[in-house]
Amino acid sequence: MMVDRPLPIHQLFVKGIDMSDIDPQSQQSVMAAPLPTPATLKHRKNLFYQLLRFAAINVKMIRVIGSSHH
Amino acid sequence: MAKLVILGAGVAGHTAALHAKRMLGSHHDVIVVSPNSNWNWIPSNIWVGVGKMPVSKVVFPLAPVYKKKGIDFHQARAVEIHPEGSDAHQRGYVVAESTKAGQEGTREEIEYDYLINCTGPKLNFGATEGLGPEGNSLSVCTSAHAEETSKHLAAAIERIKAGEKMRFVVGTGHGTCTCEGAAFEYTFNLDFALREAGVRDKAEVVYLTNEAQLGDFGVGGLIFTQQGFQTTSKLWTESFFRERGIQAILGAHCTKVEPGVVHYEQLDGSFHELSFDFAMLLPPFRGADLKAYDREGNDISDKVFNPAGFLKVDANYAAGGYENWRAEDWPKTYQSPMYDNIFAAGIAFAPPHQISQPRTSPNGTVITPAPPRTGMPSGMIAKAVVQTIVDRVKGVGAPAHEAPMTGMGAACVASAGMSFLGGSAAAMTMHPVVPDWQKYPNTGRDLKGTSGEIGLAGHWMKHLLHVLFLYKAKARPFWWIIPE
Ligand SMILES: Cc1cc2nc3c(=O)[nH]c(=O)nc-3n(C[C@H](O)[C@H](O)[C@H](O)COP(=O)(O)OP(=O)(O)OC[C@H]3O[C@@H](n4cnc5c(N)ncnc54)[C@H](O)[C@@H]3O)c2cc1C
Repeated sequence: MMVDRPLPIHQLFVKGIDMSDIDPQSQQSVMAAPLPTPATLKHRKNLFYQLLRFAAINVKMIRVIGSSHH
Repeated sequence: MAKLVILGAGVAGHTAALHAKRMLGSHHDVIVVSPNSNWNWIPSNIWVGVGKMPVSKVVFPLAPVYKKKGIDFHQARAVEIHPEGSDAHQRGYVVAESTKAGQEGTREEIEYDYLINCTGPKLNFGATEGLGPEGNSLSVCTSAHAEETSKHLAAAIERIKAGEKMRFVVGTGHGTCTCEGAAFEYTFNLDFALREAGVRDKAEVVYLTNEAQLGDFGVGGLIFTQQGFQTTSKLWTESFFRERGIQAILGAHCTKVEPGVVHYEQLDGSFHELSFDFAMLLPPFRGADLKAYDREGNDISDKVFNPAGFLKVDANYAAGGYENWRAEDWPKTYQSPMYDNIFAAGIAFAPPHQISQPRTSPNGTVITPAPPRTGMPSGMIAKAVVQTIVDRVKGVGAPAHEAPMTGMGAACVASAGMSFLGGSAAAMTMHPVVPDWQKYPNTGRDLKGTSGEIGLAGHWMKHLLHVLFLYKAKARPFWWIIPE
């Protein structure tokens, strides 16, 4: 399953239209954005690391909720 | 005995009804008027729309819950409000038309002491020719729409497997749409579903949006800290689009959807068309188009509601241009300025203006996201309104409770693929929802309360929210401990 693997550029326009003709600016902007490194992609799936992140996201959300209830 | 009538049983209305009954007890009446017999956890419609969840997991019947809690449920659509009563009614009253099988269209008049309008959005597919399931595109706004969309997706995947190449267009079907977060989620869940089916390399996925920049989400984008740097939701979202190979068309207002072709104008004034094999495009929202009448029967709808049909509340609707916008423009108590016993919560209240910077094409077309009023603010506003009403019913001389979107945060978890071990989501928090540039001059929001990260943990969070909110909505034991 190639979930999460970036697509090679030649696979982006399978219908034959180059999107850069339609919205060249956004196309350029997206292509200039940083790609995650293989390590980052791995971290996003690593069960142990994600369990820690799950706890951290919970804390963040509780903080946001807490600061919103007057 | 006081009579509280709540119009709508969505996130805001249902939250209001449950809290009101809990706080008011059996001495006072809580009445809910809503056209659908089922409650729908709308955020999970995204998963229904990619065939990952059956409809039965996102809806449940409201009547048994209301019966258990002693809430009077009228399955009907409110059509008129008479805040000043009439010769026949000493109190204000609502006219509602039944939607119950066998009684469709039967009108009833329901008196109230307090009224909360929680009628949410009317899905305004008619704003763009050919938009929507009755036209030439799909939707996930209701569970039925989402189910239909999932069938189209399954058929499309079969056709790709049989050798076709396809273009999927997902996004906003009008220049003034809101809910870009939902379009974003559907885009990434679609990408995930295509990858899982092993056909992603034969599909183009195009995100067509009214946002001027990726990562705007109708809240003007976010600035948050990541690995020691301040970054923007624009860069962060662009990176995600690049990683997943999704194309973006920005600042777009759809003018027409024909079978297999979407026509759109962009912010630079240029007009384009794009062919598609599958299009899921969200509609713009309107208010529920309720009418309001004074005691003499004169139509006062334009005083009570704004032109889009949303109820005017304690906001500053005369702020003028973007440069004049202030946090104080946003409402705090959600009380109607004309009638102090009428309130609005959730999408039904009229916002003073957009949150994103307004933009217009050289042809005069407004292409700007409308301000989102997502689940968490909708629920918190509903609860604050109920607390105000409960104080008044009980004779507590306290000032109205406040829940300004400039003082509250929101947690937004945008699913990017549903799988317990292989899924992911973009988990975002923002505080406040509406940036306060006076208080936070550099970032508009509190950096401590604003964050974003992508990963499997986000998916777990999204699933947890699904479970918790359904539990809460079913009013299971200690439901009220779960925050809005
Ligand atoms: C596809 C999608 C995904 C979303 N995902 C998220 C998410 O992940 N997180 C999040 O926070 N938010 C999300 N949202 C937004 C969220 O659904 C809304 O913020 C929330 O539903 C607003 O609550 P509400 O009560 O104002 O409106 P609704 O929940 O829409 O409820 C409106 C209620 O009013 C009823 N009604 C309509 N007309 C009348 C009438 N004339 N008389 C009486 N009743 C009437 C309706 O039947 C309904 O019961 C999503 C929205 C969509 C469309």
